[in-house]
Amino acid sequence: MRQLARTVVGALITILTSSFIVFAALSASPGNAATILAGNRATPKTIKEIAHRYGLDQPFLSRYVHWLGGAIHGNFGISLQYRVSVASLLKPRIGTTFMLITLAGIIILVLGIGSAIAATRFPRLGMPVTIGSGLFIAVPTFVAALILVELFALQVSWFPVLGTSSGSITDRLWHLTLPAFALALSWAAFVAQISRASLRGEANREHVQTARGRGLTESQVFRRHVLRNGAIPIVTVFGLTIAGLVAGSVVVEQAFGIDGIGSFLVQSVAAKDTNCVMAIALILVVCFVVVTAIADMVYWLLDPRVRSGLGR
Amino acid sequence: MTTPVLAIEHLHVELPVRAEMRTVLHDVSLTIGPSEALGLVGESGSGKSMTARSIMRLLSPGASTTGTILFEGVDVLTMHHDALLAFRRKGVAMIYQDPRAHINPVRTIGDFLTEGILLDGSVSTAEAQAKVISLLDEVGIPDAKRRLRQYPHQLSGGLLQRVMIAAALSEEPRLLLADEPTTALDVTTQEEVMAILDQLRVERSLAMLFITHDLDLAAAVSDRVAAMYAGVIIEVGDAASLHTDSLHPYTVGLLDSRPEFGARVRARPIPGRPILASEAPPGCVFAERCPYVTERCRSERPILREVDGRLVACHRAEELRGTISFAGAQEPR
Ligand SMILES: Nc1ncnc2c1ncn2[C@@H]1O[C@H](COP(=O)(O)OP(=O)(O)OP(=O)(O)O)[C@@H](O)[C@H]1O
Ligand SMILES: [Mg+2]
Repeated sequence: MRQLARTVVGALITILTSSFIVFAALSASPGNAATILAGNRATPKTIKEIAHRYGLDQPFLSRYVHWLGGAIHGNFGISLQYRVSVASLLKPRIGTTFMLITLAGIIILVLGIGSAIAATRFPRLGMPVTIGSGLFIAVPTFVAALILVELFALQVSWFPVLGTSSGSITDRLWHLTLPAFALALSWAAFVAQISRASLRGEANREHVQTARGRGLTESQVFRRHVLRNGAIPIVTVFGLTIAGLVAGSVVVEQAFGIDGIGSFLVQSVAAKDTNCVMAIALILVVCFVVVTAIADMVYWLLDPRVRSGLGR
Repeated sequence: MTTPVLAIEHLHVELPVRAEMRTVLHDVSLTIGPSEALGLVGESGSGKSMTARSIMRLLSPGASTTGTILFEGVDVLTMHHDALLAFRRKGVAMIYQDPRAHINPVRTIGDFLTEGILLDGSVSTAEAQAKVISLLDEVGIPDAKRRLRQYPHQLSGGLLQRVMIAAALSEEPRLLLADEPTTALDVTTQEEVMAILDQLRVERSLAMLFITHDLDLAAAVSDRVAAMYAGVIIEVGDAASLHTDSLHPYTVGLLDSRPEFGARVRARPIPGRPILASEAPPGCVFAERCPYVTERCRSERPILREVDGRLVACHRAEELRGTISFAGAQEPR
């Protein structure tokens, strides 16, 4: 319970600090926002009026508090580009990006951790896993995207080349499959290598000998003593990976023309739509912090030595 | 004559070390009768742990083994999968030197203790726990119920080794392998743990292979003591007469080199560096360090043979009987 409280407080502090940095860095020129909102042929007087209407003439700190207060309620102000609320623009895109990242996470779980388990349990699979993960880890996301599109969209047309679908769930998944693989492959290879090293290290522990000597079958030994112990570092790495996927989604959404948070961020930056950029930055930070906090908690649950404050 | 619980015959073990096979045991033969305790002593690296691991068939993959290890008449080395599992579950149990490394740190003491019992599938969790609690009581761990929920790092080394002993006994084995069970503990708890192990073993009349560096301890807990050097059994004899009747220069040397409590003369280690099994010369493995070495010792390896009711592997056993001393010994030729 105390650990939970500590994690939550830590996460809140991180979010608060980074929200301040985000706001301070991006809202540095409130005049710009008013100018953009006022449009091309606005007089200095209208600009001043608009600045007043949106509270842009307030001092910095009070603007920050106002913005943060709104953000907590999901209100990020008005998009400078589209003149509608930022929240209404983000909502559908968050869903798309969330789906993309979840899909990529599942692929990483199955391919990365699965191949590490297979290679540890069946040494004959060790070589192919080493080669495969060594290969994929070196492929940058956008190259993976190009290759996957070439192979599976253009050559065999199993999947669409571009775009998002607004149709049924299955249709949306179908559109997101190739992007998710492009996003996941090098991470899956990374997770495979780390997991394998962790499992191999655990398999050589003395206590595994003890278990074997007591007459457990190899699969019992593996499940109860190798996998259980090896999972502790894997969880940490997997948490990091998900956080990395959030960042990686920007590239993939651009490459596949997916209208998600990532591509919208790029678009908003180009349009100097600071309200949108700030909102997305804050959301990404929150995702990052939440994922890390969850990984921390799981780590803590899995390792009794950390739980009783002994450290490792 | 009853079948011995364990009969090792001509066991030869080689392990792969960087693409080459290295001998760790040469022609080891040992027997342990029902409810008998055999002490196995020898300097570090002589192959004591390897002998125990061979019995469990826990050598690293790639090991090559010849000879036989008969457990109640059945060869462990050729056992098939199921028989081997059954042997490890019910036949034999091992107590390791370092309980902290040999018990899974992320599972509870209760998990560790009941794991063996529950393997059968015929015992309920509640029954297994009841059994384990009474065992903890026997090894002198009070408040057993609470201990079951604790993790290894919450227990001291001494308590953890008692847990290991309880775990070994929980499977009701017929043979106990104890590999330096008290060496990793601090001096004050060594005696207690040893006394508990000895008492519980005798009560259950279990056969035991007891590995130690400590000759006096070996003599105190065992019926017979075997001495090992460079992967070779060099002498086996009654524990009671170990101090007076030892025949092999190596055994006598080991006895002389004990740090004696309150003794005036300082302990004399055997001169020379212990050799590894893989460096063994064609003749007697001890030849390099023996003050009584002859030409024959260097060319012909002595086999283990009976002299005065003991087994000894020395060409000159009869001749040297009772006269061996390293005190006046010159540097060996
Ligand atoms: N995995 C291994 N591969 C190859 N050789 C090994 C391996 N483990 C141990 N050895 C060698 O086997 C020999 C016997 O080692 P063993 O552990 O049986 O000695 P020991 O008598 O138990 O010594 P100690 O009293 O230090 O425990 C040593 O020379 C050691 O170097
Ligand atoms: Mg040893």
